[in-house]
Amino acid sequence: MKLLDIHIRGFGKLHDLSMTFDPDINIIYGKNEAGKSTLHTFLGAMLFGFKSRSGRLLYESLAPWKAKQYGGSLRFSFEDHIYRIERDFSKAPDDFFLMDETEGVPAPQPELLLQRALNGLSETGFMNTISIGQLKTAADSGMAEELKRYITNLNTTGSIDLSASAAIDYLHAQKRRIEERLQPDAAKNYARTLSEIKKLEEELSAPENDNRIGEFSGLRAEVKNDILLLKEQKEALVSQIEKGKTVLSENHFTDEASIHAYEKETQEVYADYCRSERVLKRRGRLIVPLLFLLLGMGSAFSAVCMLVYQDLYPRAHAGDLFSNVGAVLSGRFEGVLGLSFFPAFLLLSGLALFLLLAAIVLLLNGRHHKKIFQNTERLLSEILRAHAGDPQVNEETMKLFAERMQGFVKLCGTLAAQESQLASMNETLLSLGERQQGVQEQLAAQERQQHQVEQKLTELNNYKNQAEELRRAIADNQALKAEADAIAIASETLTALGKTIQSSIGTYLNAEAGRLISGITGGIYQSLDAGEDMDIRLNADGRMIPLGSVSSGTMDQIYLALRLAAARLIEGGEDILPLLFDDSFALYDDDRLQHTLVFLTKTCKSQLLIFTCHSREAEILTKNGTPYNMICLSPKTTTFSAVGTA
Amino acid sequence: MRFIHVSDVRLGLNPDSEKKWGRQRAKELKTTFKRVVDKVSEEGCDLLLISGSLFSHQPVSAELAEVNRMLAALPGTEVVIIAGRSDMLRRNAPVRSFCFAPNVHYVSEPGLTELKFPALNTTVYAASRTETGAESVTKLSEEYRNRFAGKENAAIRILLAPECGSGCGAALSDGSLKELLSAFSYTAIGGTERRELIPERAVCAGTVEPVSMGEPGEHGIYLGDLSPASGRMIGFSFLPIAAASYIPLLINVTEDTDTASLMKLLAGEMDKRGRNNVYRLRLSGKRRPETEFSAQLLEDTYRIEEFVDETEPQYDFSALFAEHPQDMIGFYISRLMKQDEEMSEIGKKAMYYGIHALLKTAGGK
Repeated sequence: MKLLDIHIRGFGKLHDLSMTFDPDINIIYGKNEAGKSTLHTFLGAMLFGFKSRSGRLLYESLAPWKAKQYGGSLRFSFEDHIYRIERDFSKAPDDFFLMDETEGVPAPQPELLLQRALNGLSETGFMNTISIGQLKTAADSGMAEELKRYITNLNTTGSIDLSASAAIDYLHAQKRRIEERLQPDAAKNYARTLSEIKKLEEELSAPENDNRIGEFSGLRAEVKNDILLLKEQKEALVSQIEKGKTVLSENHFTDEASIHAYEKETQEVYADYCRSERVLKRRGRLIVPLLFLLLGMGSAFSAVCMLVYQDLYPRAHAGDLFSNVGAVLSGRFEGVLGLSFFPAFLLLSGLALFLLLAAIVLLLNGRHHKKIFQNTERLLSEILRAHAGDPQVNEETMKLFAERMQGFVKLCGTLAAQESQLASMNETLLSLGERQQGVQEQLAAQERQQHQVEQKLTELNNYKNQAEELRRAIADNQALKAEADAIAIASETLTALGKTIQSSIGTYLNAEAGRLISGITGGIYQSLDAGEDMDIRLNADGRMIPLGSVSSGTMDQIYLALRLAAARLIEGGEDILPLLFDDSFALYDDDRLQHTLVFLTKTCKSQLLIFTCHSREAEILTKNGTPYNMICLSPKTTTFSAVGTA
Repeated sequence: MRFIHVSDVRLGLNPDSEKKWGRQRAKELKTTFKRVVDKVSEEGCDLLLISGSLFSHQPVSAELAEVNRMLAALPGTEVVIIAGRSDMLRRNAPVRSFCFAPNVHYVSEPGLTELKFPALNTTVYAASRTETGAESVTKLSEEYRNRFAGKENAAIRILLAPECGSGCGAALSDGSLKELLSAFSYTAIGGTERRELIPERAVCAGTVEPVSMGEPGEHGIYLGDLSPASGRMIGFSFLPIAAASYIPLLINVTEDTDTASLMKLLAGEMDKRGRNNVYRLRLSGKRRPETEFSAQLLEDTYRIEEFVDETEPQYDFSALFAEHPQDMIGFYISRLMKQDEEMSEIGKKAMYYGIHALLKTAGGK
């Protein structure tokens, strides 16, 4: 593709400007501020429009204040056709109109055609390769660094501007920052917490952890009730026993034996009573003693009479009765019994005594019995009043008494039974008490158990909360890890690509650059060697000179060679597109410039556009007899003056 | 007979615990329940129904005592509590041996329990969730029919169930559940996050205080009035009572959006809806690649549960590819696209990271 001519309607500081280009070499001469860079930019804008981000900014800054006059046209030849691009930047930064002047019709599929004409070059590609400037830094040390960076970049990324290593470092820094936010132990802690939870839940579901407090409380209440009931019953029984005992003691009984004794005694008294009664009731009870008394008195009288008869007792005192009686008696005794006085007297007196005594005894006896009777009657009467309610002493009441005594005996029996019952109650109470104790202990144990269960539940809840937090942390971690993984992929891809590029493009570039360097320097340096670690050296007749050791002028040339090699690379080894040199040779000394220009004009088949603010290039070309087209830009005028070829 | 139906209070939960305001939320959960209790007293309710998950875990004695204290201060209100999914009744549960105040009835027997309140002419049929199984509405209604139907003489019959159970919707549509539910004046159901009104006077009250973005909308309690003579509902309303709502916000950004203006916009939107609410902020759209959005500055003032940046850096990879066919950028794009034709998430991210790194470090910066 060759640029033919342009017309600028309005672009930055240039307007209403037309110029024609030579298919081979063009020198565009203008002082600073003449508009060289604007022109340069115009060419790029015409070929590509303003597509990139930086292009947009340029687009705005280059709009002339007469807005409608923003744009222009460019004619170029490609594949034996002549085409004309027209762009009106006031409408859009991208739109263009492509006319096939050879055919006289608008070009079909203009985007595709333009792209082909540009050999697939993009705007960036244009900026980075075809449009050749110079090393930015002027100082020597900086230049070597810059050059090295360019060579490294070209080798590893295929582009002067892109640095694989810098990009990879940037990614690593990003990755580090992300990894700092990771919580590394989250997964481990989560697993641990989960196992703790599981363990606790298993422990808690063990049957001994069942809450049986209600059950035991019920049991305790039951036992308590039983005890209370039994106690009540016991009290009732005790009071009954007391009552019975009181009854007994009120009646002065202590036990059954005493009752029997009492009864026996009473029976004996009754026997006495009956006996006495019998005795007293005997008829003639009184008669006999009275008879005896009479007889006795009679006997005594008789005795006394006898005494008187015998003159033992002074008759004078006694009287005649006595002596008469005495005489009779004595006679009788003597006559009948043959007893003399004395024995008869003894008999009579003895008899009298005996009979009197007997009478007395009988009377006394009678009185004695009466006393007994009376006493027993009184006693029995009292007893019977107390026990039979009836003071009358008779068989009936005695029967009643007997029954009552039986009653007492029964009472004793009941009491005995009750007391044994009481004893067994006490035993039961004792065992119930023990049971209560047992239940109480069980309840206490249950409560302790429940307390532990509660503690475990609280712990479980804490663990569950922790688990929740950790789960979230893990989710966060995963998100972060996804980012880190993406960064890793990016970094790995860049590294791999860098190697691939190095081995393919890099090798080619270095070889090509080496060839170009050899040509440009006039054979001083034969080739370029970039080691694995981008340790760049130049081959000067077998001596490997590190890049830092060559002069700045050489570095300029190396830079040029590099750019040219890159341009060739982009074009697939051919010289198809025009090359634009933007003040590239400003720092070259004359010698170098000579060599370089000779090389360029001889070996480059591309159309050359050399933008310069020096006249040296033109002079050298003229000196060499190389035909060129001279275009002068001056800041004051908008027209150009073409100087013919020398 | 005035009643309040509340469910799934989940005391003891620590929502958003890793956030600075997480502790406040836990406290708010408690105070919301306190507010419910106050409302019960304010409205002079005769009955408070808690349809499950009062606690977020098996409660221990101290926690039961605290709740008991609060409820014992409502001497004129009968409270019926059942266990739900998060506090289901286990054999070792401390609540089994806890002595509640006389007006507080915690259902701890298996199956359907009948609680008679003759003074209110009301009988409540309630079941707690135990570890042996869930008691769904369908199951309980059947049990009611087998055990109690026909024997009741209270005008108001209320069913208190811990969950609706699967097949609730299906059972409704074929009419079998309708028939069962029509025996009750009101059915109070727990176990759901959102509130839902089921026909035949059955209500899933939903959680009373939301704790995540999965519970948007309004949360609160239901206040009802049943006629003690006829058992009919003469008043029914929903009272929003939650301390905070969980609100998702979606914001679209453009290349012109910068962090400062975005923060201002977000702050404005959150102020408008209330600073006490919890927000999930989601950004989408295309942003300038250098811009990185973060809500860190807002986190001190607002409750931001999640900040999701779904914006994509405005890299037009196809254009970049067209621009850089012969260098690392082009090669990188084509290699990644070849490796991962569908452009998975990680592929997209790797694409962005690589290109961003190359462009950021280009030109010797």
